[in-house]
Amino acid sequence: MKAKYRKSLLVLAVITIVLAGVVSLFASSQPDGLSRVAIDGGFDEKEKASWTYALMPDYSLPWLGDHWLGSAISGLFGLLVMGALVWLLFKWMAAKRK
Amino acid sequence: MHIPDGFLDAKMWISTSVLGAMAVGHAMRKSKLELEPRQVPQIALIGAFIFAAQMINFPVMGATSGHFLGGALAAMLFGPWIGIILMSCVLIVQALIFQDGGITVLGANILCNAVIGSWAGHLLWRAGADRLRGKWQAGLAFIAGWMSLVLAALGVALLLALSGTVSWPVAFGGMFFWHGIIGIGEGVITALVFFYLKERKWLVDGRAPHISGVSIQPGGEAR
Repeated sequence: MKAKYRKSLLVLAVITIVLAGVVSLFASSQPDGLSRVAIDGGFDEKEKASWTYALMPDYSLPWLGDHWLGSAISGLFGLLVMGALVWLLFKWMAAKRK
Repeated sequence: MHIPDGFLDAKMWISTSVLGAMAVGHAMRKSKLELEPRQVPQIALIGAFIFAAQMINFPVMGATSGHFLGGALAAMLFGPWIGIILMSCVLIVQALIFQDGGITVLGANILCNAVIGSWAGHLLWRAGADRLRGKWQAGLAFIAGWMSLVLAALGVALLLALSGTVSWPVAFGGMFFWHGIIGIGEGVITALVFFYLKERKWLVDGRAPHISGVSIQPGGEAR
């Protein structure tokens, strides 16, 4: 049972890394549901970015242009940031509970 | 469906920012009480998984795409309060590092995707999970995923209409139509991942009760 549980953590981690680093390169770049509604409803031009300090806008590395490597690296970087942020936040919360 | 800056007017983005902050604060206090230390690595892993899965836009009827949200999955695994925190972390990282979703509308995105997404999934799942078995339970997980995405989308439609950005019929009709389709993907992924992890003893006994007598091949029946 314990082994099955541990294996599930590993399986999920591998799936996550493959999704972010490989599968994401083949993701559709068509507008998503909300963008589609905005285009059809004629309000898509209202979009304006107020935050211009994003490190990796649109999941790419600006200095690499549209290169696939930029997408893969930004995806994996995002995973690390997400995992670390959530881990630290919930570790802190679990510690505060005591 | 991440609202970008500029889609909501001042009264809507300011009020949703305040409400969003209050919701996250409340969810933090509740999560602290519910959290089991053994869940910490699970929550971090699911957070990373949801972030990765949200990058995968799949095509929907030609010139449109959709992606997984994850609110229902997070809430079914860890309860709605931890679900809200987890989804808010995803939205904050996406907005700050990847310019995916706006900053002024971060509160609005949290209210729709994190609060509505988690609670809708949780309530639907809890409403019937104990009474259903086998493929009916898998079907319920699918519906919980579908509903959470559709209701989150309708929340976005409501905010757009209240901002005067677009009329309610156009916002409602469009968001319902597209997310009704995208929701099929949400439901399938929610059911597959949830039952895979449930079979491997991810749920904390008592809180998200282990349901005895259920024999489900991990997510197999969700299609």
